[in-house]
Amino acid sequence: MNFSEIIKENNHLGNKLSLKEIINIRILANISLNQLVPVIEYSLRVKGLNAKASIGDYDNILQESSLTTPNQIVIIFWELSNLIDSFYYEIENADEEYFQLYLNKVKGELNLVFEKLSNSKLVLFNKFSHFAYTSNTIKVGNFEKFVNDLNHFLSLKLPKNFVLIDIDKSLTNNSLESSIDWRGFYTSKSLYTVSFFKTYSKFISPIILSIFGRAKKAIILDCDNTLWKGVVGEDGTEGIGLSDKDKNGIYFKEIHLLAKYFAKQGIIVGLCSKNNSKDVDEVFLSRKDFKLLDSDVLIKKVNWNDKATNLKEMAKELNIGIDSFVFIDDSEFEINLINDKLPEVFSITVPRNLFEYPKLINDNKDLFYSINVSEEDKSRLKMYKQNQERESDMSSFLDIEDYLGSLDIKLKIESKPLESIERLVQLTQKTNQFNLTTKRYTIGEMEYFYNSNNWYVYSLEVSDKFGSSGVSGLCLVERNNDSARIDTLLMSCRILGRNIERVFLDEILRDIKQFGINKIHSNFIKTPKNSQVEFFYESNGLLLVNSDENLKSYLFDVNVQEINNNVKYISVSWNKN
Amino acid sequence: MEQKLKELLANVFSIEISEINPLSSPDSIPQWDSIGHLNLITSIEEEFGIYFDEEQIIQMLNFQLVNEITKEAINKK
Repeated sequence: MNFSEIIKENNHLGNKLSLKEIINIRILANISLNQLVPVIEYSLRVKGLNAKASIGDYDNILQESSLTTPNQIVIIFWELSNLIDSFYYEIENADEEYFQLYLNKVKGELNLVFEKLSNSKLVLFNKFSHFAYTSNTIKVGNFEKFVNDLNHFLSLKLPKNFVLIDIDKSLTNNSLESSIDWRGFYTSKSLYTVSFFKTYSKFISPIILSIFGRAKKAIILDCDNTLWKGVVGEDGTEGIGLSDKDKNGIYFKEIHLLAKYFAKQGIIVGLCSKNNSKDVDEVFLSRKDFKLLDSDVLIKKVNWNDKATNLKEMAKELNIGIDSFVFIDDSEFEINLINDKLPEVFSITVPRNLFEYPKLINDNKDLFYSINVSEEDKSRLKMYKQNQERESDMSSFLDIEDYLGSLDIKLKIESKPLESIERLVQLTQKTNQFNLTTKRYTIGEMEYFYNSNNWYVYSLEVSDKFGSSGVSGLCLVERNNDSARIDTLLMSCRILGRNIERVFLDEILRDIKQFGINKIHSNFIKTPKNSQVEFFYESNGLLLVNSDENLKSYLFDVNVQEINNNVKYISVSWNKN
Repeated sequence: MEQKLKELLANVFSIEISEINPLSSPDSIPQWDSIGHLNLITSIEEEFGIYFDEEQIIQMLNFQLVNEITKEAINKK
């Protein structure tokens, strides 16, 4: 898309999204980059985030960093080329003393900026780069050493709420020649071209999308000519191409390896194919050279129904939004059907040139980008499988209470568990359905809650006879003298439906009460995805005190209202730090 | 080419093509400020694969001048 169209579309999307929560992006730089504003806004608006970007005062990163607010996402372009006029040429001539002087000056300033931005939601910091000056030079000069030294410093000192952006990847992807604007640099300190900004914005947007719960969670593949070469119903189990020994098999083998990688990362891998299901099962059973195993695949819809219906059913069974699906198929017909019926699904057509296929899927890996991959993610597949076992086990019980009693459900509630802090951050970013207020937090904010005496942080882990869910619930409470406010209450979908949510809330109310708190306030903030908890507080004994279209407020008065008795088939243990 | 230029102007400044006349300028289009001017220059350069020098950028004071200077730059290419 060319620049003038981006400006036009960006304005258009800005109007369309104007009622949504504003995502503030603050760009701090020692070069001019006004044209990054519409480009980066567009890359996020097109994904449904109401992004508003602004640029701090030119060449004033230090002071601007103390003027940012914690809810802003900060992007820093600290360009050594413009540290002082002609810095590259100066430093190449410099003696050791001058070199160290500048190095220490920058390190000192970096430390100050780290400190000033320690409460920011998220800071994207571009790694230092020397390629604009050195890509045609064999000998390593002072500038390159300077850059390498600072990058080493960054790798040691970077705060947790910072993400280091390897800007060299964007420069390479877009080509150095079309990224650097020397005319712009000498006339107006505009080092980068618009085409670079397009590549760069696309590169970093998954990080921002991920902290607002927009990352994809499932990859669903067709079978014939998508998972293997050929049509299994016609070519037979041995006739299809899926490994090195088959013609064109190598491309598909690499797709299998990618799918296995996704499964290991906790991304759901599924199949959706128009086929006889026994033909597809037979491939998994009898083709020993098939790298993808039945155990890597979490869900299969192999039937003759239309694929939009199948995908919708999958979303329901997995309890995730259909907008977190990526769908891959070789048929234009199926792709068009999904684009038409389910535009929120991200679809990818298998390229005609098969040699482009593995790279195409690999290049789209960041659709699933997660800012912190936790242990829970990696074992998610196992946990979904346990859930499937629970469901099939349930059919052998007549009474649901008997069944729940047989599960031996145990809750473990912990206060501020250090080892789970990243997981808790991730839960705020990823949980959409059972989430009363849908507030997204970053590691910096969570650390603040951990360190504050006014904040209580409760994590929930659930286990039963089939296994453990890992940390899958969170409650944040802010205390204000003798009253308190439930800021966040959320639970991962995979533990719902067993009265666990009720017991978790009751336990927290009981705990807060001990601290001499009388009144507990809470809110429900409506989003397009959390309607299942719209009446959660009412049905658990809290008093509705105010109700707007999108916000309901509740009160629990410890002296007036009773906390529910425990559910007999759930046992609770506490671990307080 | 003139039509394409009008289209670029309309996109960059969020106006209708029909509102543009030879004398359209920063005085009549509020979004045509210094950043808007840069955005316009970049859009024209991207569209026609040309590169303006500093003098030319400063001289583009209204649509007629934008049109003439762009034509000149394309012919020189």
